[in-house]
Amino acid sequence: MNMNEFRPPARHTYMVSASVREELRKKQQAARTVYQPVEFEERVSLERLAAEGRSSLFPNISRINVGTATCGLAAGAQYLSQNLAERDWDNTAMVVNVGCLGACYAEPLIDVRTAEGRHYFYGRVDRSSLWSIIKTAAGEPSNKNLWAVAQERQTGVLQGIEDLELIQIENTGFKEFFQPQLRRISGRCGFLNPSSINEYAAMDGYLALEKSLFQLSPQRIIEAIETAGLRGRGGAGFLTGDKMHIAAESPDPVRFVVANADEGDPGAYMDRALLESDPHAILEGLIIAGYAIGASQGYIFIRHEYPLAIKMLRKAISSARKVGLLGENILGSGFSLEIYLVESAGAFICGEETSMLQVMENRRGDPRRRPPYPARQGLKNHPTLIDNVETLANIPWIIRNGADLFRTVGTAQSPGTKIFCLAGDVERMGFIEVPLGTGSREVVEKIGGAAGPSVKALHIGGPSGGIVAYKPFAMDYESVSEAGAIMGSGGLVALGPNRCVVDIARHMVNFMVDESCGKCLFCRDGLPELEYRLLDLCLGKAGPEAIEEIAGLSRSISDLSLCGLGQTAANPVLTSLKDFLPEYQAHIKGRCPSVNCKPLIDFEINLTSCRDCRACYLVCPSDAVKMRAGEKRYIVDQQRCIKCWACYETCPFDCIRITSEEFAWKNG
Amino acid sequence: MEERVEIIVDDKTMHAQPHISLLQALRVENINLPSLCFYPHLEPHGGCGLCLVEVYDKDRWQPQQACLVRVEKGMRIQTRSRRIMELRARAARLLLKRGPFKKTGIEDLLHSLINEYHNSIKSKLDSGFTLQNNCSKKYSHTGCILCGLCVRICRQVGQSQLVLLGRGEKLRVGLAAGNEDHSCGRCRACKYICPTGYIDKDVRQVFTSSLYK
Amino acid sequence: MNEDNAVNPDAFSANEQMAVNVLNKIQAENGYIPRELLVEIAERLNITEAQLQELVSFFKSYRIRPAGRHKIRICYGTACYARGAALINDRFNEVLNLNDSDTSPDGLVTIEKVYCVGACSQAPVIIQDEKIKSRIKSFQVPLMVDDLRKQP
Repeated sequence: MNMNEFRPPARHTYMVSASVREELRKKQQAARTVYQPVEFEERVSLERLAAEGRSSLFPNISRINVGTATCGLAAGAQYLSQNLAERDWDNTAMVVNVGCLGACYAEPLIDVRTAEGRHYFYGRVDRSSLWSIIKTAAGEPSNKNLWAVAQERQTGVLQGIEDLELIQIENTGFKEFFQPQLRRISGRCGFLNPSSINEYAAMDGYLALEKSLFQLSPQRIIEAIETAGLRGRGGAGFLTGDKMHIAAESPDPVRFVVANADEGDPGAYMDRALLESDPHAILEGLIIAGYAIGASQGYIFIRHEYPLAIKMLRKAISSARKVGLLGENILGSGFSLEIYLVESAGAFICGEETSMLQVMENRRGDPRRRPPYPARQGLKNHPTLIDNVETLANIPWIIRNGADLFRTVGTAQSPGTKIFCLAGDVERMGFIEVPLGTGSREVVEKIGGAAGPSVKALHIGGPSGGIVAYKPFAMDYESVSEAGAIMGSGGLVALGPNRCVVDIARHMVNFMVDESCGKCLFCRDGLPELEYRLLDLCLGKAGPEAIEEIAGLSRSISDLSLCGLGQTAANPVLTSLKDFLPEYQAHIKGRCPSVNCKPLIDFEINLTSCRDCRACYLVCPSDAVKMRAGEKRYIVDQQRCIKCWACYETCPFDCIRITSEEFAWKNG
Repeated sequence: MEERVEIIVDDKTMHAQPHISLLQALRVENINLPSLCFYPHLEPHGGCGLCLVEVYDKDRWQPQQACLVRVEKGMRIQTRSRRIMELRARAARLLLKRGPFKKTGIEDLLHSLINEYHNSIKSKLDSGFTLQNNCSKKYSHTGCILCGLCVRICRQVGQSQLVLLGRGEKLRVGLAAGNEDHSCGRCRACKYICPTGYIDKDVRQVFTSSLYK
Repeated sequence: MNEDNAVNPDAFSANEQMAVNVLNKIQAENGYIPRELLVEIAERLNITEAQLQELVSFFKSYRIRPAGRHKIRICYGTACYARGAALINDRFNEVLNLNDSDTSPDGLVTIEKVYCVGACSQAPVIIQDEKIKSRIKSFQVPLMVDDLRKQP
């Protein structure tokens, strides 16, 4: 640095022009050591990748992992990460943007790993607690916002949260959230830098691919998947091994593999979390699947609503290609596979495999009739293996650890683990991984931290799943079907006592109306009619025959639709009718038991606890909160009230009461 | 021609050419199922939901649209079960809501399907099936049942000018080139094939929606 | 249409034989898909324009007209809906005089409904010009619109 050109201002002079200040900022920034992962541009061995990865995963300085998956960004992690990264660490710490640890409720979540392998987890970090993180990274652990401290059982070995021993717990929920889980597939999420292939290799990544290519024949791989009994995690639970078998036995030499990352279920985001936090695992699974069936081309069909996941995947594909793990002659084995990204543009139905194939052939995404199944005749009539992202992530695990170990958890019919996305009225939301067959109580109450009575119903499997009464049952494919729902991709929304089941079912049908492709009569015209009838219920306008009509219509929609979307579209209605019939009946009489449906409820102000703060009066958008003279002076004008909940949300003293009465007194 | 195979229709054995559309095979045998969207020379679409049959699959009767089912050896079919009649009546009621139709006879057919079922059920209150449809839903394109015949024939013989736009409720048939002059070959195939008489004028006057206006 | 809008020939590498990928790119560059480009892509991909139109109309996110200056996407996923996404949408409709169109008459804001952006724990969520805002309450909506109006 030329000192004539740039002279730092003396401490007491603050009169610096803007241009100088900007110059100063730039120079300071250039002097800082911002951590950049080493990127190999040529073919290298896995050992070298892993060695490089280990040096950044377990450095001899502190490493600050900031969770910057979409959920973290939504909570403001970008600001924290920038702030930390711009700091002059003087080579004592590095800041890494990692994916999602799964505890989405704790975002922004920051994990500080010190040089001796101790992890300090800070949850719900805000600006005020940044200092404690900085101090911890500098070697003086601080307790503000500290949730837990854990030590690597063996320093420098970290495959997932199971390799950590909790030594100090400041937030008991954090421990309860992770304890019942078994994080096999999602273990690396939140610890490794998703844009670094080195770190993935350092966590035993691509070992399964190496093993498959050099030690196993394609047949042995398919056998292993078959013995493991891996079932498709996308919804239907079809045996993945069987699909591979069919595709591999086809006489057609041109074959394709497709990863289905068009995860449209509202409330389910495990694919997003996996792709954003650990994209190489999916890539590895896809390459192994491609090798097993002898495919030459692979596709990843991903929805455009996940820009970060797309970015991570692009990065992963390009770095894998650079080091020779993808493309021509993978690892020198002679096997070649190209992987392309296909971005969907917003259609739920494209998650249905035949619809997806239509779009990939540049046609409208109207599904076609199965059979023939895509494993026999798929993309351009060639055999096509289509697997969900989570299924693919299971494949490397099975190859690495063997089918027998895979079967040690789960049930005989549904072995292995499953990722669920827990949301709704629970204390701790997030994406969790538990063995299949884990009890619903364990998931909702232990992991989710909900008090039992505060959960009325469970909505499993998204809009094509079911709304079932909350009761203990095992979460595996068979038991969930028995309970009336379907597993779907694993969305799990807990509904509290003040969520109206009829309204939620209507919302789901509304979603399906929007997403129906319009080919089949019953799905196109029957679903809107069903929605109208449900809407009539929510408006209190339905007659006594409505429930029978709704049930009949729902049954015919599921009977006569061509694809999985139509067949399951009425599931939320059919299942909730079974478990929550009284709630439907109450709506006919004009009462919404969960005080949710706008036309059926009234707002009242409980004046005994009112402290005259005027918040409701000020916030009401329709001037429905009136002020009278005297002490007890607020009243809701029911004629003007638009039922926007603004007063209810604002009132600091919980004075707003919502009531719903049967029509009898109104009509009488 | 392949050898004809045995199929069982309403407990009667008959012979049919394998791998053709079941609806077509039944028509050859003089069993005429109601259908609005089937044309022998076009790919079956399954759009009207009337040509219903129950097919015995594994261990249960599964309702299917006959036009989409391929004839296979030994398959068992029912064409007149109560379930079929109910579903058909429901389909007819949904189709009626897209009316009124210009071609005569369509509405009579649909009404007769509804009445047939309604008269067959004993306790009318518990069945959850009402004769009148009191749902207030209205559609913008009155008279078009979106069977897709015109689009399919246009692709086959015309100039691929008719397109299915949008999806779900908002699905509609439109002209790819809008109302521009060169937009249509004027072969009128769509007019002749339309089952409901919706296309009774120049297509450019009938299909007013297009992606770009 | 200026020359920048012309389809980049690289867009037709083997990677992008899929029409959706090309369309996505065009939408990202222009904010919508102009008819001229649609014709051009159809020729390059060797499919009819009719087929491409069907594809474009099938997907929700493709626009055929230019959008407003700001884009607000309201998440309608289950979790967000249960926590009041509909209330937020109603408020936007009211404040912006949307009247069933998706763009406000003054061209300020385009409102879109999206199904689940995958941030359910922060519900209800809206995305304002690529920036995620979480735990929105309906009474914040007029303030947000005011902020947007003030922005240049």
